[in-house]
Amino acid sequence: MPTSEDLSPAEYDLLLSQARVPEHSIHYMKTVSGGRPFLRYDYLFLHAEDWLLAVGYSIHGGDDPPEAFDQALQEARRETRAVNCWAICPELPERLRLYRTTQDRYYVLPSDIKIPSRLTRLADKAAARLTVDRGTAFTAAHRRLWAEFTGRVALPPNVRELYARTESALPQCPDLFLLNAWDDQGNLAACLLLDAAPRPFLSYLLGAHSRQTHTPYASDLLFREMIRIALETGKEYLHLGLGVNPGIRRFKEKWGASPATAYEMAEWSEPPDFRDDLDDLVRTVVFMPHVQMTREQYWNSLPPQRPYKLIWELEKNGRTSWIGGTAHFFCCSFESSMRRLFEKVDTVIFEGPLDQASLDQVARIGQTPDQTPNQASPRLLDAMTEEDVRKLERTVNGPRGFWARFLGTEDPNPADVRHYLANTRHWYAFFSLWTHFLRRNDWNHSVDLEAWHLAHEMGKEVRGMESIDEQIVTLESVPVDRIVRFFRQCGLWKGFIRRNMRAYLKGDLDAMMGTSAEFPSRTDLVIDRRDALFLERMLPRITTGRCAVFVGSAHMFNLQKMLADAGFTVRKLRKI
Amino acid sequence: MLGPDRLDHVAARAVVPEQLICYVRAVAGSTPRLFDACLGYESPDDLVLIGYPLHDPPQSLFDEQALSRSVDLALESSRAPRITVLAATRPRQAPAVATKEPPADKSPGQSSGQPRDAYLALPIPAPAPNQKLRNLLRRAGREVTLDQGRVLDQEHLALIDRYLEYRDLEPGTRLVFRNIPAYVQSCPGALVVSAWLNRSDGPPRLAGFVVGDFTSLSTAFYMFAFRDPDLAPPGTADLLLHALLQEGEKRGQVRMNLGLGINPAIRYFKQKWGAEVFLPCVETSWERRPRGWLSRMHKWISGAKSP
Repeated sequence: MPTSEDLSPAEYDLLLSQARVPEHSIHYMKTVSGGRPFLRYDYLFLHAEDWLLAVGYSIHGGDDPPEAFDQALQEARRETRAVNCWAICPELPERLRLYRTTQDRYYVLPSDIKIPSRLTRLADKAAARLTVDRGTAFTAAHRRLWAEFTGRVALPPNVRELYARTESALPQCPDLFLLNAWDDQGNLAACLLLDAAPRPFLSYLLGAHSRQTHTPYASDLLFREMIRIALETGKEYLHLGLGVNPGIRRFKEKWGASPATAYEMAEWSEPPDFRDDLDDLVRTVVFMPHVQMTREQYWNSLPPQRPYKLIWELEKNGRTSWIGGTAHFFCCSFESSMRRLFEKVDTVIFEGPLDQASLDQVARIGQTPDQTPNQASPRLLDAMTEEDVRKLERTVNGPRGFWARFLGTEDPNPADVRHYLANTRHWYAFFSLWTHFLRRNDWNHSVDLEAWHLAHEMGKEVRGMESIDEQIVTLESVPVDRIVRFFRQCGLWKGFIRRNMRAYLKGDLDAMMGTSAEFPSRTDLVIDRRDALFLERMLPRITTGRCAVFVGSAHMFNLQKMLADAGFTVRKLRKI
Repeated sequence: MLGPDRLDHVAARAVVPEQLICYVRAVAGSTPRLFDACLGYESPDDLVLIGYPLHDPPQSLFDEQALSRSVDLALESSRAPRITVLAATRPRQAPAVATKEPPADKSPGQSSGQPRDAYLALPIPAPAPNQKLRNLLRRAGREVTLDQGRVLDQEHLALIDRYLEYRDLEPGTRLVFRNIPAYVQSCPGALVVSAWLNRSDGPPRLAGFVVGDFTSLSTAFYMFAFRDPDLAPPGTADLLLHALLQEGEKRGQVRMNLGLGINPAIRYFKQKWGAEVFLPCVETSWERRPRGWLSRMHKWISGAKSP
């Protein structure tokens, strides 16, 4: 299945040279929709987040059979997993007719049309009082005209939206321009927004005329000028857009425009999860170990799957990468989402190496505190009272004793809390006891470990941004008093992990950080100072595109802005 | 065909800051949605309805019937337990005794905690300043240099911190202030004008800054203003407002919404410039009671589904 990557320069060129409808003007569409364009067969699609726009006019012309468009549409939908969909085409596929919102025709006008003499006279009258020019600057006069016009005329919301986006679209679309008619007081009497990007035609997008500084026939003058420009620039015809209503149709027809290509639009929502879930199931079955299981055993063997939502899409120069916030320990698996993501990437980057040898090395260091005089590792036990330790033991290991055994709630493998506090490095004691508590609460997964193994299994290039030595320096910097404080608050841990889980599953970064501000390893050094290093080390890969980066969720606070500052368009996805 | 409605057309017609979608999203993170003619912001626990109707074509902002329709629709379609309406009048659906806590996503400049106030506005171009004001502008103009940008640096952040340090503000308001850098960065209509103290003995220091918003086609907004009382020469705040007014004129806006009166000192500052009441603002908040066992069951089921 091809993926929805941005178009190549050749495809941009193809679209503009074969354009049939104004929606083929790819730079404009990309700008006003905010979506990313891609081609499926002969059809243009734009997609972002959970939505998909489908332009059902084949770029190679022809009859546009609804079935061919529908095939491309269904593939694009499956691939993008879009929920909210819009399609325009000459004739809607049968299954979408129920969702039709508009039926109309595009109006076109040949460039070499002979302008009726009456209109020439009107335009001449206006020309005597107005100066026409073209430009790309949205000036104060344009703003005032746009405000006046949209404040006076009833317009559909989508057309209002086009007016609202004119100022931002102009600098981004090189072939978009304003055709202006100025009176001798310097007032803008009328203005058209035109698009010269499609090679075969000049597209009329919007227009406005003033009543406050009214000059009769200003719009007619601009129409005549627009036709002249189309002819001079070698356009075959002018695309005047849809008929919309009898008044607009009359104006277009008065200039000789005639209804041409049919237009139907549908708007609908796809059921969000059915196919996705089916895909996930298929993936899981494909990748499941080939051992004999009963159906019940199989279902029971599946870890609780959740969509991965703490993920951002990074785009620069048409190349896309992704960055996700991870949790070292978690209660659910995100394997299906990760597989989906990894199908789109070549490289997967982590904070550091997560292979068994590296993890063992970290554990070895953690278990052997530095005994050197004057720089001996601090012992957590020395900073805690007997009562603190007992409370911690109860939280980490849960209930013990006769009743706990009787009720089956006693931990069969309790952690030796005092050993960790007395005989291991402070950060190792923290992570060991915290992990034990999490495991006892069924947090048996690790987001980054799962991603690490999956990336290897799928044959991706896997990299770490820091060495083990660098990571040890970071761990050593975790302040003892923060760990002690966190241990003293162990009575709040259950609520803490519950809130953290909810926020993580929702992809709500703010809520996550709100619930864990006092987490011992979230210090300036661990988070802020490493962000710059991470950015520097991930930059070459994410600039190339097709790269997925995983960092601890707390890093995403700063990294979002830093990545945007580095020129990336950073877009939070609802899920992957 | 444009794709999902980003509601830019709402922001293009904004007359109050709460209709600037990008701003509210950046500072409060709530989701905008149109309820008939009025804009609302939804979060799981709150619905804030901005009850200044956006008719097509635009009509009166005091349309009580349109407000009432929007409130009805909001009550019908949103399950948020608490609703807040900012409007020119109190909605008829509000219970007799309504709470009056300002919403979290309300602009701090307008967060007075007073349920009734009014937006003040100046026409653009603004009336010519009187002699005293001209003197102040001249004085400040000699001592500071203005610049414009779209980034807040450490000195700007320090001024915000200082502002927050000495004021007893609600958590929601503090959140808004904390998110000013994100707002400035993510909303192209936002503009920062900074006043740097001219010094011969070192680099210029920040005496104050303002944030304006020029997203709307007709209305510019005076969003936030900060001043270092130890550094800023008299007239700095006036000079900064003057700069925003000039920018509005340059861009083609016809009025500047200066925000609510807030308190006598702020109101005096705004009225000194000739600001007049533009729109009354009545804030009405109330908790909604579940409508019956079916509604409670729905709530229970929704709650059970949430992770």
